[in-house]
Amino acid sequence: MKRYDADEGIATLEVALSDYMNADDLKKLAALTGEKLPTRKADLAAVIVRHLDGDRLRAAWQGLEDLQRAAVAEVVHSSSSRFRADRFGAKYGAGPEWGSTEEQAWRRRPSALCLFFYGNGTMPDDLKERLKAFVPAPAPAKIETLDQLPASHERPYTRWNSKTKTQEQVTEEVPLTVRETERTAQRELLSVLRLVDAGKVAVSDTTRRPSSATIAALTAILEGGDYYAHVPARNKWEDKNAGPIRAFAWPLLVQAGGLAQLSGTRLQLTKAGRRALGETAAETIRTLWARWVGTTILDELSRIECVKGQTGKGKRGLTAPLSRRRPVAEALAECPAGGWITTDEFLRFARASGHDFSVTRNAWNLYIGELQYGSLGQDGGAGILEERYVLCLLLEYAATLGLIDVALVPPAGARDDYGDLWGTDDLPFFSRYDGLMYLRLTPLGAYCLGREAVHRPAPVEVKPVLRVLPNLEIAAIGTELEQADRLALDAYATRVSDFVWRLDAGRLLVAIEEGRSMTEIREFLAARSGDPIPDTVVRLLQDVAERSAKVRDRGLARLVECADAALAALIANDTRTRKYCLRAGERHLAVPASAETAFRRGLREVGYLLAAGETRGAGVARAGSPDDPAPERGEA
Amino acid sequence: MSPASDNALIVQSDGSVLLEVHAPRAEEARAALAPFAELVKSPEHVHTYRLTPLSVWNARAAGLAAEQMVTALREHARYVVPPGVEQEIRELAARYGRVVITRDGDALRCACLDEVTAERLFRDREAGRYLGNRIDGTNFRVAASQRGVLKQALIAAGYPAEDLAGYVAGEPFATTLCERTAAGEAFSVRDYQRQAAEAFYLAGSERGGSGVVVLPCGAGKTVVGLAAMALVGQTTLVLATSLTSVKQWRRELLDKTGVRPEDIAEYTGERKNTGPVTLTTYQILTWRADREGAFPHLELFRARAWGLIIYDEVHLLPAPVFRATADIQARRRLGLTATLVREDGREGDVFALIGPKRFDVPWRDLERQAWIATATCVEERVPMDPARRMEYALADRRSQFRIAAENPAKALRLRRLLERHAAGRILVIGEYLAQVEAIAKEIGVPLVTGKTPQAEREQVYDRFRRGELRCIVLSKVGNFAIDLPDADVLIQVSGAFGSRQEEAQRLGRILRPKSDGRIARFLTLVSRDTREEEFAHHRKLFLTEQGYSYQVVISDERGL
Repeated sequence: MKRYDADEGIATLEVALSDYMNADDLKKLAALTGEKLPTRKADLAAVIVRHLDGDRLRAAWQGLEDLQRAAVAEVVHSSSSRFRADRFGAKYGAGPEWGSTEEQAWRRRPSALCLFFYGNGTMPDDLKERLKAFVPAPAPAKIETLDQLPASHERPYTRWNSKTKTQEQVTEEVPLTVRETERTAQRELLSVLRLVDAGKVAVSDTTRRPSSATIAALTAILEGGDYYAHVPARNKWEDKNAGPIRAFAWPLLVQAGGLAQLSGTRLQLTKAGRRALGETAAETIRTLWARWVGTTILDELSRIECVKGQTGKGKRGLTAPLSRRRPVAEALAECPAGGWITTDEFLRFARASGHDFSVTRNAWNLYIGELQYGSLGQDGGAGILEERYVLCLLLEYAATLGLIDVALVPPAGARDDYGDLWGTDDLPFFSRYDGLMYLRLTPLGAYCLGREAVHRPAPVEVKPVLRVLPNLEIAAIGTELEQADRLALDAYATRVSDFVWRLDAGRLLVAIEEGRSMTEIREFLAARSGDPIPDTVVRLLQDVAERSAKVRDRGLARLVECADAALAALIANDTRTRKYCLRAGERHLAVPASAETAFRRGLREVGYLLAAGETRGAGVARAGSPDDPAPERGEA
Repeated sequence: MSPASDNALIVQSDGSVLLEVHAPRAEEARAALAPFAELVKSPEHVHTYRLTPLSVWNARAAGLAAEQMVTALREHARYVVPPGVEQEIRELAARYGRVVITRDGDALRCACLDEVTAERLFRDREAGRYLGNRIDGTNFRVAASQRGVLKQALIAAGYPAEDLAGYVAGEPFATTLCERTAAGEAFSVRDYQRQAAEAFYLAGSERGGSGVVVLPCGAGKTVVGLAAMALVGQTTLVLATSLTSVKQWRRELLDKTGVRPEDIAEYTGERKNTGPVTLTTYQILTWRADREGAFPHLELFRARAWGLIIYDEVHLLPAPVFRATADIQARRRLGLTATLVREDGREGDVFALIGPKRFDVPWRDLERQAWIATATCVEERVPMDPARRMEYALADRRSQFRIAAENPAKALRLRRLLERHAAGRILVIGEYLAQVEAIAKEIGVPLVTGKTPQAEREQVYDRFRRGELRCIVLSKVGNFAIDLPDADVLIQVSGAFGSRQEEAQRLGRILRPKSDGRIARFLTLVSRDTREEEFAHHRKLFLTEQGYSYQVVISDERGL
């Protein structure tokens, strides 16, 4: 036997039998053929070759059990010749029968499946080619969706029973918080862009991560706040706060998507960002997601902060984020839109459907607490890492962009799969994303992931829980309102008592400014009341919608002050400059930011230049020449 | 919190209670709630009640215990009643009856339940002023003249007095209600009118005899007044808003009661007589020679031993009359109004000095029973031409409203509306004289303003009643007490900013049920994209809260 492992593949069955099998193993394998066994290794190999020769291969395959046939089919119809036990287990729930499992290797007897795989689970290429002729393709992996989202999550925890003096495994019910993100994300995108435009988003020039002040400012504009509200802790050991998630993600998303760029320590909108303010948010989000999948601005693994070694010894072994995000995106794209899926089911499906990945090529260099004892190379640490990476990508980026709705519980205690890892005793959670329990692909997600050619927003669910009254009040009369309904009402109307909100033009205008639309509130009210909306309310919404479109933001402009009214008139009427400026009063001109370069050029041609102003704006000065020197700054 | 979805009440922590009128047990819930909560608004679908100190004290006065109120809420509440609300009801209810005012010879006795309450009130800055004469630990002697102000002060201190001092007897004067009107038509007091009068009178007990009846315009509040006069059977002073209203009262008295013409006296600017039934106006009562002078005509309150004083349109009661009313708490007082909304926010004074609300009924309920005409309300947005828009844009904020209100395009629109309602009996009402004068001139119909002599006004109204006139243009004198039962279309071209009360009054002009069942049409012309829209929204509030729904249309959209 020459080799044990077959990373490069095995060309033929003969090579497999000669190079990857010893005589003892060949003897056990040949015994499966039922023929009289020779003693020489070459003769034993010939017995097996004859057994699988011609039509006898089909007979050998037909003699396999169902799961064994499935194992053969998976490899025959995949690009790789290697059998992936983890994928197979995820897809079929169990592994195929490989033979007896005695402790001593020499006692083990192979099953007929071993006739098809050699060198640690590799199918010889010639065998694979012949099998392809009659082995049917396996059914694709399926994902299970839930008919209904449960109201709570059964969280397992360990309790000390003082009577029996034993640890007991029990569960407690934790209420689920549902975040429907599709519409929220579209509005938040506009809010974030406006915040950037206002110069209020500061990020680090090295890491591109937002500053604490920026996170606070962003959290304030997020609808319903971030996923988890901050709860002051008495000390750091009791601190179970997840920290910012959406507030952290947005500045990175707009940078990665090319909507904002760093200028000093603050972000400013790029041309694409400014354009995005007036475009359909769904289109922009589609671009943002596509760009995020390929971005190198951040490796999401760095957000799983308990994992050390990412910037040191473990850094070299990390795989490219693109190679991790792409399979997750592909798995998401295969999920049915509109059905809730448990996170564990999604992880299973991703593995089963071949959309799995490795976070690192060497998990031994990543660790928790201490490299020697806490290495993630042991006790399934790498698997935990990959799953947490998926959770991070889903919750922090896919959900923030509105691709998936999510149902959450607090992260502390949500998952207990890491308890055996050394150094995790004091961790409140492995990652801040541990509380992601369910997800649901939104229509926006289906569009961004390429499942749908056009974006068709999800219709608002009809539930008669509100009464819209002609005096512009909205009364909650049905069963208790859901959090999302309350948030929507709070966004559009002023709450006047426990169950009553009042619509008014001022609040509606604020809602429009925040990126909401009057059509949306109208649909929402119609869906939640189940009755036609009173005419007074319809008219108010129409009035506000009409008024909101009568004054438009055409972007920033520079205010230019001229020495006198005649000069202002001259510049405003000269063919070289008039296209780029507008009169603003007697001595002032407004130059749109987009036309500033052309205006400056035209101005020079007219014989003037734009001098910096003393306190604000700029002044127009005659271009300097030896005879007629340019005036001092701000002199014009 | 497990919701009981059949239950109709949603009790909120601020003391307001929502009644979902479509709930299976809504009527039962309404009956249980109404005795101790005030109906604040009753738009379609959901009516709002409020638990207030006054509503709880009224209920206590009617013999309802705190636990009965709490039980009623619990039984009909969809969700758990907020504990704070239950606590508040118990605390408020416990205060009622701790202070009782009774007669003590020529004076009054104010008796407190315990010394702690007596001490608390004695030290109260306002109430203490009237409780100087202490008889013992819990009793005070109070001058009879201070009955009104003491009650006001006690309410302000949070300890409403149970006023058992009774009323002084007025001069007897029997008023009988006729079975047929002067024109020979059958007449009877409607059930709700009788209930209102009885709720006020309370069989002559000292627990009744003062309070307010709230009924929509056109529902026959005057008849309630007549029924109350019949129950009291004593001389009566009627305070009305205008001479026109005085004439209407006279007409009604002669038409529907056995009161003889010579027993009806008018105390107005024209003549100043008193009689067993005396009719006067707020205007004459509050007249004085100069700003610092006294109000000589307020003496009318003491001119006779009135057994009953009726305050018509009590929401318009001027401040001097309030003050005078504080001095006559021993007289029975009946307030009549379509709305307790006072644009000056003095609803509390009406409660303290005239009395609590004794009876009301949602407007739409009367409409369903056909006691008032069914009405449709339409607000039309009329655009302004560019020149006027520019004038509006450059004007200061106050002038903007007037520029919008007097939008000349309204006249064009009005003409089209008159054509459309060619068979209607139309009233056109506006706020600004110049505007209504121009309109009257343009469409060629009589104009009635404050300057129009009374005789001329009556002549115009009579012609309208007889059908000789199809349309009248009115200034704001048309807001109150013009009795033109056949009017079925009212077009308001401008109004007093956002006055909800004016909106309600104007609608009332056309709410008399029509003999042929025609529906009433209430049309408002509002200039588009102006502040008038904002004010119009405010004006609509009262009526939408009474269950009327408005249709809002834009003239252009209808191709007009």
